[in-house]
Amino acid sequence: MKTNKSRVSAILAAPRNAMRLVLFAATLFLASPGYGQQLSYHPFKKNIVKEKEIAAAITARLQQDVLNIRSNYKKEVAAIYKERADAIKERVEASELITDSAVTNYLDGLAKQIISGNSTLAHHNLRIYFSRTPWPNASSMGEGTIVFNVGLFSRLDNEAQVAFILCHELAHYLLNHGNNSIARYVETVNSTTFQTQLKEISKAEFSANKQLEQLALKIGFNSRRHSRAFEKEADSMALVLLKNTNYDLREASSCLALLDSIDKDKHAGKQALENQFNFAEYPFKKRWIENKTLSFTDNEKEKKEAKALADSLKTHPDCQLRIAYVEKELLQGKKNNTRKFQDQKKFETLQKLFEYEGLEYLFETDKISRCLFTCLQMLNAGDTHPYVLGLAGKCLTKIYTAQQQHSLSKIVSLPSPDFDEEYNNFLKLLQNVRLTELASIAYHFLQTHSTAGKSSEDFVAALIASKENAGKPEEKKEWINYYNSNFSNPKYKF
Amino acid sequence: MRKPLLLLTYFILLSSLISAQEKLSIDKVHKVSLRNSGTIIENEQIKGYYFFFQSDKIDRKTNEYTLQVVDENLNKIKDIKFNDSKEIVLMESSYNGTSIVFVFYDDDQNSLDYRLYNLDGKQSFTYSKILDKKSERYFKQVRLQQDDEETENQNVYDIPNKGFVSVTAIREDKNYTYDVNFYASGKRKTWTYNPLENGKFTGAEYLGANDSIVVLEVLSREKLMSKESESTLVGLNIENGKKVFEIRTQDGSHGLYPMNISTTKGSSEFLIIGPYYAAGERVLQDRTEGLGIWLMNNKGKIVKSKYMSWAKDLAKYVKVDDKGRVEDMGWIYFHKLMQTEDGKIFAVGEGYKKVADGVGIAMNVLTRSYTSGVTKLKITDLMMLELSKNFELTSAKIYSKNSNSFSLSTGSDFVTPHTLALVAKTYGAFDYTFTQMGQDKSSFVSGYVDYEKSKNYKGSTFNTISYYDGKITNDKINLKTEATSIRIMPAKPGSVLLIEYFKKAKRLDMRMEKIN
Repeated sequence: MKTNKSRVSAILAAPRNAMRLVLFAATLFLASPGYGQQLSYHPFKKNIVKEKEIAAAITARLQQDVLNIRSNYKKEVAAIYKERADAIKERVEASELITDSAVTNYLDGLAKQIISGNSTLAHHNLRIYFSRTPWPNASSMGEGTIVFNVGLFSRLDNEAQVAFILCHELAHYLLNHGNNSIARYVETVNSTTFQTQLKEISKAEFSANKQLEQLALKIGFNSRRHSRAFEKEADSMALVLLKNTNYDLREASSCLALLDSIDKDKHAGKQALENQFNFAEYPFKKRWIENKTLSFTDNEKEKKEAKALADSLKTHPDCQLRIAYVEKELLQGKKNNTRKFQDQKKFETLQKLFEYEGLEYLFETDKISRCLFTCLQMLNAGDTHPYVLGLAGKCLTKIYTAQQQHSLSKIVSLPSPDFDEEYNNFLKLLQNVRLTELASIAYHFLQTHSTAGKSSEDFVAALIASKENAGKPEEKKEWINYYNSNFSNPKYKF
Repeated sequence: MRKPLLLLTYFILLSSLISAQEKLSIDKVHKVSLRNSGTIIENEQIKGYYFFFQSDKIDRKTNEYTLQVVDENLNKIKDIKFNDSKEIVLMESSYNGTSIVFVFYDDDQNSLDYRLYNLDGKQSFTYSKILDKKSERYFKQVRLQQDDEETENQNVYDIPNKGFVSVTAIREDKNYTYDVNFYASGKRKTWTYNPLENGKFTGAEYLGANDSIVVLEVLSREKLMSKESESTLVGLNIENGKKVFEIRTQDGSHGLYPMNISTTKGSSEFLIIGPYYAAGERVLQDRTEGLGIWLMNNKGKIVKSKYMSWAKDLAKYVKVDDKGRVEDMGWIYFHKLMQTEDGKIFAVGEGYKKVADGVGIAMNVLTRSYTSGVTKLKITDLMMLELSKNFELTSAKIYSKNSNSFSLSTGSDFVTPHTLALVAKTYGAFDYTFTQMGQDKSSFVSGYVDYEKSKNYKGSTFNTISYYDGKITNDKINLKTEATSIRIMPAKPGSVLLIEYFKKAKRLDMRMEKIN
């Protein structure tokens, strides 16, 4: 399930083992006594044994798939299958998938709802997991692995929408869309026609690249055309699968409407930067985000051509078209369930925890500018969870150190037309401020939040670092004493 | 985040997919070659970069070219495609806030083409300038001798929102001269200024412009090999190219060699800064006496002048002998003079002195002949001078670095160290690399390379002297890398661009790093 703007190709799969709906460990969702209504969050546990099992299952499935290849280009198809399996295993080995049993049990439970109502799914060897990536996306890899990003889950309204997305990805898998795409691609590029065309072009003295470009575009157009057809098929089958559960079918339509605008940040448009980095003793400076860059606009003809090309290369039909199609299908159906949740409280709790887990993943994978920006947005929206404050502190320390060591480019993105204005302003700030200004921003930011954040060990460590960087030795000493007397099993040494 | 060299992204993406096959693939057939790349400069600031590709072959004489423009953050912002002669070379580019110009040289037609583009990527005007054979040869020769500091152009300069000025070395009959052309960006309009000086050998350098005049530093000699040069300042009316003034850069007993102009928007006065020479001394060939600053008006009249001498003023901060040589450093070659928006003036220079060349002497002894020079130029430490807005020297700081040397076979022995320093500059022998001005000239960064051999690090370093928020700070980037080679290029204010080439992987990584 992807939005029109998302990039990863979506295909699909289903749960491999018998799904067991297991109650979550109560502690995971209990309100923490220390933070009033705030949830207790700790990054999810990584189950190394489980990760190895998943990797082994992917390898076994690859071997089975290779044996089943029916193509004149078996070797070429097998090579792509292997490339695909390796890419998924790489994600597993990097602990991108959540293997904490409390979370996998929840997803298994949802999948079980779908599988138990659809006997065609019962015998498939599926692996359905949450990915820790915060981008709103879900994908079916085509070989039985389905990945549902935490960033998508935390943006949905209810479990019925989650179920629709799962059904959509399962439909891709059942319809074998991924493997069909691979087969078609391999057939095309190895065909006599294609090879003859390439041979002729390679011999052409003039305009060879132009001819190649046209040929490449033709393949691209065909591939995207099929992708759009696949999406329609998947939506259609998803409704059939969803009908056989007790979830509300109308949520398919509301889910698509939600996906239409999901690329926009959850907490966007509230001047997070100006609010969070504005202090009485160190006011926000407009020049931090001012920067007149060289930019080109497209002329009318180019705009039209670019739009036509983009439309032709879209992998997904417009959400509005999909909504219209889904609604038409719904009208024809007789059954209309009304269930939106199996357990609303669990769903909502998990949504919040997933927001933090997505942040944790950004930090672990060194996407520090995005991580800090999201923290600022969440703080601006009123979420002053000590975890968020601690993580914001860690990001500021990491950015300071990287800038000092001239390795900032490894953890911070440059402003880009691909990003929205608010994030670009934040990136401009990171580019424009000098080390001393960065030290002052970190110092004042952490000082401002010191009451709310002091229960977080990471926050206090960042606060101490900020005192050091801002040249406040007395304050630093004070906080070291606080740290040493409040954290019995310290992570940091001062 | 690191960015790979931006090629024709979509196309390459597809072709790389297809390259997985053993048979013929698009990747194997597709050939694109990068002809050259460079910086896009506006008012001494890097606004972006261009990459000039030959993207196809149209016929025997014509190629298709793709001019890819990336912004200061390395985002691809435009691909400009066009067909042209296979002999064209892209020389440089400039941006004036509303238009961007690319200067092409067509070796077939002996023409310089100034192609102006609007910010929608549409070509607005093309101005062509045909060079005759003598001029062409001379032009190429001069280009080779020009300093290639990457924050400065050599032929075309931006006039904000109005157009571009080009200064071209040409030859007319026996005269080695220059001409100045203005190419308007808003409407088709051009003017040419040709000095028409009979029998002189003249070269001009663009210094800058304010709202009404373009100012040039002109050096002329009576004969090609003559040692005496005359320095003049020429002011041209920006609207029609007519000469407004032409004055010798002589103020009483002080002969100034203008290196920099500083203008204020809306003001009819501007500052001229440069080293000065004592009466009777030859500009550029003899030792300098100090730093001179003139406040001039649009009519070329010196309103106020101030001279800061090495012997008196600089000696308050560092040890200077009566010849103006700084202890251990020698004479100072000034690379760049900057005026910041707070009115302060900074001068970055590097020491040089002529010393005995041990290897040359040994070679001469061994061969019993005079086959090698016995002297060489020793390039020493870096110096930064700071002057208040009242032109008083307030600081002189020496930055120690490893010295290196430069020699010109036997030629080094027969020229003054000052002339040798000029040649060394042309050959890029100094360690100073470039200066980048910050937004609105409120800050700057000057950079130089060095080699460090310490307990913690052994290898090349890129060092910076920054002025920001009224303070000078220093920084150092270690250049040791796993890449086959590394190159530092100027970037947007406060940053540098590191380009690493990995030969085995045939990969070029570019990353932008900030200066502290």
